[in-house]
Amino acid sequence: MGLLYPGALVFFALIPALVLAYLAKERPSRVTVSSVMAFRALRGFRRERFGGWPRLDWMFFAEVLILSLVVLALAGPFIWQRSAPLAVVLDNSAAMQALTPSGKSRFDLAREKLDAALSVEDGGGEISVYVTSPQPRRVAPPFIIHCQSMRR
Amino acid sequence: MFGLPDEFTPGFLARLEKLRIRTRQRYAGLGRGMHLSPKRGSSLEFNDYRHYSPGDDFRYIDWGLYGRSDKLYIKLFQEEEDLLTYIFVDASASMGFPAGDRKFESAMLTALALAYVALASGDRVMLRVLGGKGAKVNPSFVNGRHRIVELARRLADLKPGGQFDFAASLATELHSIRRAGKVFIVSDFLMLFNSVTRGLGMFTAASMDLTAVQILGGRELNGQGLDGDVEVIDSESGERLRVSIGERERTQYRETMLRLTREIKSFCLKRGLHYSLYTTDHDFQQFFVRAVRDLGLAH
Repeated sequence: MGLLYPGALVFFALIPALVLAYLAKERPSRVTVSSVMAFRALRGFRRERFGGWPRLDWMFFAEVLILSLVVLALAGPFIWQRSAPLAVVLDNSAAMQALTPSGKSRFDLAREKLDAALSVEDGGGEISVYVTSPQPRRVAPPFIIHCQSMRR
Repeated sequence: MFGLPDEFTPGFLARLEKLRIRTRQRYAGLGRGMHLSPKRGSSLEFNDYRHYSPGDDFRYIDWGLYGRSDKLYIKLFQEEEDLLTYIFVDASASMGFPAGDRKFESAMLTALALAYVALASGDRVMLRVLGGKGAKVNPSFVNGRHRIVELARRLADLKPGGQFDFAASLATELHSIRRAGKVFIVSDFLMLFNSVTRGLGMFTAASMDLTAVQILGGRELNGQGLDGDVEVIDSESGERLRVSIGERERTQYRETMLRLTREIKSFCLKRGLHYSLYTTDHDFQQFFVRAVRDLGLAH
């Protein structure tokens, strides 16, 4: 699995901000009562108690979930499909025989590029190579060890 | 009606007129009335005999006794006088909270209803206010049922406010009272239990017949309107407490409030005082009619 825009993960920093916002919202309301006598028996603030935790209701968790999903969506996650078959179409028309300034034909250059690309590909899927001339056709049965096939 | 609060409907006034104040002992009054006085006088209630002495009204000579004993005796009768009724209304700041509970208004209604019962049965009423803001009620006796309007007007000018030491205030008030009689104290009694018992105990020590009427707000008693982390501020002392209130705490709070009222009731009953609790979420007229005995009244 990978991310298209890993930089978007910085938005996860909004979650602590959300917690802080909730803590700020937990600031006590002040109420004048006739007498505080009956309140003396009650314990102090929940978050001031030993092992206490601010009152985070279901809304908080819903907001954290929504925020996380939005940040993940921004990061553009994708999944590598390791066993996906790969089809390579190699142009072998006459135009590809033209020489490049380096002295190699365009076809040779294309093969080198293909070889380089397949050498970093570690998908493990089947690879089929097609050529375009005279009719589009597969040059060999699908193979897995691409380097050997390419050299063939 | 006629400057009285809306609760004083003609029907309610008629019911109040059928009531009278009941006392456990006899008190001397200031004029003729319907209560037996410790004085001897001219009522139909026989009290005692004494030897005839020259100058006595011989209409009171018991001739039957003269026939049996050959001696002249004068029949003595009990005097019937009015009852001196003192009504104390707590107007301290605590009576103004919670604002939605209208505790002070309920205390005024109770005081006026008690005053009307007394005035309608020919007794004298002195209304005294403990604490409060606004024009002070002149502490003097009034009699005649028409004076209820005057009392209502005086109370209407008052606003709850300030702080007072219950026991010390009552001691000062008691010092200024010269004649014993019936005392009603209308308060929320949300103060130290020791202060309540000292205050009420002083009146019993002074041979006063006392009724304590506790007024509590319905929301106040149930802790409604308080939720989550709350910093509660005492309306009188300004003391602050930080508490978290949920369902469990609300139940605990309610139990504490009920325990406080039970303690005061228990103290009153042990001392032979009348005690009645009115919570403002109930209908005032129904409360007053149902609590006649607890208020120290009789039909």
